[in-house]
Amino acid sequence: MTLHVREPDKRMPDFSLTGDLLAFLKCPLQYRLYNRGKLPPSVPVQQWFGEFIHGTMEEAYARWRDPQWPQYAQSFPWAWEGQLRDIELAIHQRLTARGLPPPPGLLYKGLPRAEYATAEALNRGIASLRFEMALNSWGPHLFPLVESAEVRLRGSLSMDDAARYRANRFSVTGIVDVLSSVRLRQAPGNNIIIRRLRENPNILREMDESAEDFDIIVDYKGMRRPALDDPSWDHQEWQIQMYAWLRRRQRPDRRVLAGVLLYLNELLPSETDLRHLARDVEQGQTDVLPGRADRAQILLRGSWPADEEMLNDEQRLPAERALTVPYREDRSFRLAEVDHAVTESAVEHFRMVVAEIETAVHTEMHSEDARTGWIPRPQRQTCVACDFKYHCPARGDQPQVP
Amino acid sequence: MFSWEEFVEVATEACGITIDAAISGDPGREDPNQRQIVSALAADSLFVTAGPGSGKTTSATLRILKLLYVDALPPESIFATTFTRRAAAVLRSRITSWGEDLRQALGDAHPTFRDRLELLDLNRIRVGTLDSLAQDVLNENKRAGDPRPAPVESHVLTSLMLTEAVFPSSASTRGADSDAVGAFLRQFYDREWSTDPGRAKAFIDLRQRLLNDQIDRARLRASSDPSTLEGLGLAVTLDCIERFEAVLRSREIYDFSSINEAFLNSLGDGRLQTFLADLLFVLVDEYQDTNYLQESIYFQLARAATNNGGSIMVVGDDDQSLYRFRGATVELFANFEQRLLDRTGIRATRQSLDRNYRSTPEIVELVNQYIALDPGYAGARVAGKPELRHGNGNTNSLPILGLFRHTEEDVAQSLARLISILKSGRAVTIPRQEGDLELSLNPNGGSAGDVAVLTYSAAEYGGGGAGRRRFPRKLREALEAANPEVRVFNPRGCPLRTIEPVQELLGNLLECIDGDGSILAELQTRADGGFRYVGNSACLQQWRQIATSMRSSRSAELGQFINAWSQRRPTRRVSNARVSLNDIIFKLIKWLPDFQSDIEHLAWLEAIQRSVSAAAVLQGFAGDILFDATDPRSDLSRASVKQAYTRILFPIAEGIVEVSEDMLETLPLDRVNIMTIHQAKGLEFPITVVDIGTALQDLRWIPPRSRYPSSPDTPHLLEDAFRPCSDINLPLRSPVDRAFDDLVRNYFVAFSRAQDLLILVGHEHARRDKTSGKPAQHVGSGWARPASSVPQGTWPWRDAPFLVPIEDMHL
Repeated sequence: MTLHVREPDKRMPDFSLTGDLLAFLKCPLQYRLYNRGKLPPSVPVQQWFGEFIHGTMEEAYARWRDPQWPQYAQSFPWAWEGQLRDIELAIHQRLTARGLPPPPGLLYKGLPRAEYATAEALNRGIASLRFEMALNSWGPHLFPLVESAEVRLRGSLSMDDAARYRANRFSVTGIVDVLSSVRLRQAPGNNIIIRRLRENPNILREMDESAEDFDIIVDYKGMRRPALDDPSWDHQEWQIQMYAWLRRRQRPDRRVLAGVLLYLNELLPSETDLRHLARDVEQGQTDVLPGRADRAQILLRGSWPADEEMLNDEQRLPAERALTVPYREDRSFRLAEVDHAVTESAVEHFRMVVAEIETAVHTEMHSEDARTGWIPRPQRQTCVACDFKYHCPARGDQPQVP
Repeated sequence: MFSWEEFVEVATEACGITIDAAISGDPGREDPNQRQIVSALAADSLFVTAGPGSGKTTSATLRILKLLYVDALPPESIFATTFTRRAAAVLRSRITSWGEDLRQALGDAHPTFRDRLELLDLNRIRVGTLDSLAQDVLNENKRAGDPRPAPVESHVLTSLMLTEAVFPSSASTRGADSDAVGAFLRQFYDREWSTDPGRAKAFIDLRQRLLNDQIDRARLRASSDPSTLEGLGLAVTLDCIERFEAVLRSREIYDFSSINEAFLNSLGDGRLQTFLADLLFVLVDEYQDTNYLQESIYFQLARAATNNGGSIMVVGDDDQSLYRFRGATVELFANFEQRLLDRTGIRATRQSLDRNYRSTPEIVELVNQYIALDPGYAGARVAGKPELRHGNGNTNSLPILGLFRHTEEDVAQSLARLISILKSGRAVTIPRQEGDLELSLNPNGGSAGDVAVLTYSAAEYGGGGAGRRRFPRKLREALEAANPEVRVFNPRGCPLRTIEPVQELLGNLLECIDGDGSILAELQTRADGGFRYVGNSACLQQWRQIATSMRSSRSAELGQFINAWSQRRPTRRVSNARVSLNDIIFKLIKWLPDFQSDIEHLAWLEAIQRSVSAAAVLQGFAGDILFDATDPRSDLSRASVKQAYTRILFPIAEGIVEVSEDMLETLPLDRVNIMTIHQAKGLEFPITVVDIGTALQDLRWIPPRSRYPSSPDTPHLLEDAFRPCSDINLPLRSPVDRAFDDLVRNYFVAFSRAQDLLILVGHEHARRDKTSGKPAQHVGSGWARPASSVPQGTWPWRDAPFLVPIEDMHL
């Protein structure tokens, strides 16, 4: 008589595109500890800013369209005092209630958190300034085009045959804003989002020559525009393709023509961002090249800090606005055309990523060492802010005080 | 969309289930009750009792798929909830997986329907726990400025209660520390909760009861006499709870119950009209663990669904209700049909899933015998419920085994030897009259993880972690000393504060932030009327001692790091910084390698670090230490350390912070799982060991509620005291009967987890009661309820004829 073998739970694993798949691609070991293990980052700058910027933009949009908030129906730009500060404080409170307070100085400087409600203009940190830039740069043009904000996408895919340890399928989730063709066609001609979209010949043709409905999806990125040789450049393109695939599952009657990524750090780059940009420009690793004036400003900051930890200081702003507004907006806006073949390849790519994750989970479950199967992928920028660098097999940094 | 016949043919093929043998053939494999459930019309409301292992997830999934593919219900019109996140994930997986297979098969069979099938988005079916779905619906329908409810961890609530409601008592706010509160609490708890954290925990517990039972607080206040100590205590307690709730509201902090309450309120105030207008089918799984607040929500949803032409289906098993201590009210399930009719006018048809596809015939027989043993229990069950039948899902045939010894140590040693032999790949031969029994793990993938040891409590030490070694500890030691060694997974076996590796980590942390202990001393001697609580300093002292004693076995670098920190001597070019306690912890584990790689250590680390993050909810320094090399003893710097004590380290030392069940979602395959019966709910194991009385050698070791509840426990007392002030209107059995009923259910769940082999372990003889001289009454030896005329000792496992004993000579 043969006894049964305990089977793992028949649970279809659920993967968030950004929280799981892109995080795993960045570094599998870091993903295991922060995301699967839920060990909280000691200084969650990226996590907090990502949540903050999505929360504030969503709340701003909700107030803009709600007649019960008349002070937000006024034309842009919105003032920090009277309009933006209230939104910032609401989102700050909401994130704090979830155990995610802003890292020191990021939202407001020189004040304890308990006194944030009394913040004045001179206290504003980089997150507050970036929210204002994002809102006043893109809000007036984006909000009238939005059909649905914070749309939750979810779809399931069959698991690669070699990775069917726990389930035959997996699900992928994401959240996006959706722009509709109806609104795009109705919007005034001076809308700069439309102007940028119409620079793409396919979108231009669809808008002018076709009566069919279509969608454009939008995702805010609380980061700088990646360099062309940074793997995340391609990963984010795949992400858009995958969002398009998911949206198509949700609304098969509507095509997704393109995705827009808005890199919000580019609207107000920090000193560190400028250093990265200088390197990208020097090495020809950016697709948005500066004009002469901007190039001169960028190359002024060409040297890398000697201290690696300086790289982690994302909050220091240049003494003066170094780059022109058009260049910053060009860098902030990225259009990814949705193409069937590219979408299929992105879906396949993510299927392989999931297979890698599932294989690592399986390996871990059969091992004494939870890290087995999660291979670190050391990269300078990822490791600088990583709490595991002290015991990561690929690094083993010496802890410093403080 | 498709006919029933088409659906059955395709589903039989795609899912491998015989739904309707009249269509697909193979009548021997059809479960007629399942067929009736799946084939029910969209407007038919159902009340389904489903025994353990009876395929309720399968039935629920097939009913939903039938509603989609035959009745053409839109996916977003389906709202399916279950009790745990794990169960919800399993249900969602099954619906998606089978649903996609069906879509493919139906499209292949009917190419003209492909486009229509493409439009069917299975992901829009709402499947989750009630609170998670409530969260989703509230967020989808929120207006500008509305909060986004998300639950915080329970220890954060306790800490908030402590800091915002218990401590700030003054002349104007009557004291939570008063004798009156003690007298009030003693009515329900077996103590007065004399410490502040204890009272904070009790207040959280009471608040849950108020919310879950929808207690009218004005009626409750009016029902007690404020001139009595208890009446005054009630008033003070309610004041504290309401102060705490005002803080929650002002900071938009939610727990599960308040999310459900917000959902219920929103269902009534019209803001969820769009959601309700689309609703056609409500499925509630594990209904036996529903509370009154949840019932009120389900009835609102049921009204909407039936008004739209749809229905509600509830599935559950009163014999498996385990969560009364969290407010679950099994009586809502037992009286469901009548309550639904009375309160909504909806009539539900009863169905039963009574075929067990999980276990061997012997286990099914034992489970049936057991549940009928106590005549006092019969009155608590759903009337007319059929007996469980063997459903031919598991055709193995093995006797129930018994392992009884004279001491806990002996049981642990013998059991460890048995498991170790099996793990090594060898067989154990047990002689019996019918022929020798050969036991071995499955040669293809069998492992120690196939074995689960279920106990009433998985605590490894008594006395809150400081007392005697209990059976789970003795078993762990025996397994780890066996040859070959067998590793154990029981991360909730000890309170965090008593686990040696945790103590070492936290001791080192204390040395870093408060090297000479002067800040703690200052905190304890403060007399400015501020924070009065001094914490469990003995526990903190022990952490330091352990860290110091272990230091010599660690790298010298660890000592250097701690020295530099404690003296605020920077080793890099930063002299002033705000440093998260988590940053220090991440650095310390450089020299404590088990925290980098061992799954149990990682679960402990997660609990500690999440409590640091959660401190942010309490505001202030949010788990940060101000590092100031230029002025190491500055007031602000010391204040940050004090707050780390009061908001993070004291709660851990008081046992408020625990490893949450969420952290245990992936059980390691190679380890024996020692778990509580509650933790095992919804799981199944090839070999299940149930502790039915290893501690019987000394009755002082077993609390009455887990052995013979001759008096009611806290939940029963609270139910009786508070419910007259609620509209729940539920006939209840006596509190002592309810306590017995709950104990019966506990072991019913335990026994029914077993797939192939059930091993009962316990003490050789129940110790005799000092006063009566009779053997102690217990689940392993039988009982008669206090008011019962049935003689005790009616089911002595030890001598049961069906039980095959495992003797040491076999091992």
